Amino acid sequence: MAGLELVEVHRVRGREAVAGLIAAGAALAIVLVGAARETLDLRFLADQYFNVDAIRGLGPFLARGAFNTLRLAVIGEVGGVVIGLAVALIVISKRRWVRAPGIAYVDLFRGTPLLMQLSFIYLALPFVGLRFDVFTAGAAGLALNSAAYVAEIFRAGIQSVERGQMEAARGLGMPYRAAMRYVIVPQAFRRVIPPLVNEFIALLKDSSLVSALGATVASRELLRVARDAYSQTANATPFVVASLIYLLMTLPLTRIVSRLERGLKAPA
Amino acid sequence: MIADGGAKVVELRGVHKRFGDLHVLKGIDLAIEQHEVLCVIGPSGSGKSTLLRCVNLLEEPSDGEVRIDGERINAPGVDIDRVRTKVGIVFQAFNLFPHRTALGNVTLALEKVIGLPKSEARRRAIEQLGHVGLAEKADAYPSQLSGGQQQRVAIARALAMQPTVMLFDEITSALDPELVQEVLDVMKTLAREGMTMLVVTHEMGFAREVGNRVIFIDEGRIVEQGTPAEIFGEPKNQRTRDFLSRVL
Repeated sequence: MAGLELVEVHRVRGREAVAGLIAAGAALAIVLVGAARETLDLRFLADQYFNVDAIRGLGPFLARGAFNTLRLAVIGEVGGVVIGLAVALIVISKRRWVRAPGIAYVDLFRGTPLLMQLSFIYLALPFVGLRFDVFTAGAAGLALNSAAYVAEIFRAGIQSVERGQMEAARGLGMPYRAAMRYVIVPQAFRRVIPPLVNEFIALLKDSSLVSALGATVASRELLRVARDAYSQTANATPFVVASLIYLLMTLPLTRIVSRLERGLKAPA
Repeated sequence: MIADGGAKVVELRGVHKRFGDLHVLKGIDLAIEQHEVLCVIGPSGSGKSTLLRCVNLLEEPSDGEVRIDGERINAPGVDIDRVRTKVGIVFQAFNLFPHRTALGNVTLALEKVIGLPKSEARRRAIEQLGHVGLAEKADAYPSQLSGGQQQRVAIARALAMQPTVMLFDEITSALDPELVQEVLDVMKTLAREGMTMLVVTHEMGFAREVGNRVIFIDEGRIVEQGTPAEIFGEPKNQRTRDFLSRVL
């Protein structure tokens, strides 16, 4: 086990090294190209993108924005997993008329733009008496949308569990539902953790679309905070800082998950 | 007929199984009486596993009747889950639940199917794990057990349901040679204790020593049946003789 862990660590380190090399290479290329064409204006670059004055006083707002982004993504993910699992169980049914609405759901939410779905919930549903504030509409939209992707993830995960597992459970007299609940889904869950994290990372970024519905100072997510700051100062530094915060939120996730996965694979 | 003329635990009448154009079972009639150990031998692809899987309806027969304790089970309205609690099955590939300990494998159906309270399920599971010599491995996960140990846990898992008949589907075929014996020993113990058993096997020694009756099946039909002494000592059918000369 120790040996495997070592390999894993090495692989992660290796990935970081490669990413670092690429980033350094890209930066170097920009500088070299700029120098060669004699258009490189380091002072302009620093002033526009790394200007401390431009983000002065922005701290609390960025923090609030990051918190809202995280909140939207977490609600989207949790809701997506709950709804997505239900949809997946419908989609794998042997009966066509049970399957049909599940497939339609996945097609609908994967096949139309998220922005349109968000707008529909926020702008159209009030006509039938369903009125939500921006945050609620946004969170619901993210959950419904991610459920379509999560359903596909779960479907693949469930179908990857060996046939013999279902046979063993049924052979013991377990009804189909109990076999799914206690035998198949728990195993599928372990296998779909990596794609579920990918989904969460996508949600972190997709949550920026919620601001398109409008935003109050308190409900702004991270990118909206940066955009508002930019429109006031015409300085791009808030975008750079916001990007760094997105990175800070997503990077540890992959690390935590690879550790989680290892723990689940060999429960001791 | 069998000597003691006991009650028929399993009965198959005119069972056919087709997979599309493939006609795997072509009219199987057989009965297993209480306390009987019936061994099924035959070349691979002959239909022996399909036959066994028809007994608990993991395969639905295309035609014919399957009866357990006299009750026809391949009929509309039969609660197959209830029937399956009476018919234990052990597979070639073990099929233990990898996310549960040995104990958790045995207790799952006790709790979720029979509805035993946790403590009672645990007590019965420990007892059955002891029966197969693995009480001390109760907290081990399947990945921490050898193939032979996994298969014994699978046997304990089936036994814990207190079935009236046990089905064994080539359960030593996936094992390393040195692990086969410990599993066969458990089966011998069960046979001695009077468990009714249907055993699909490649272990001719086991069939000869433990079986009350041996069925030779080929191309979806029962070609010959009799006591082990008859089948192994003086097989009447040419196909049986050919098969035995290849495997013995």
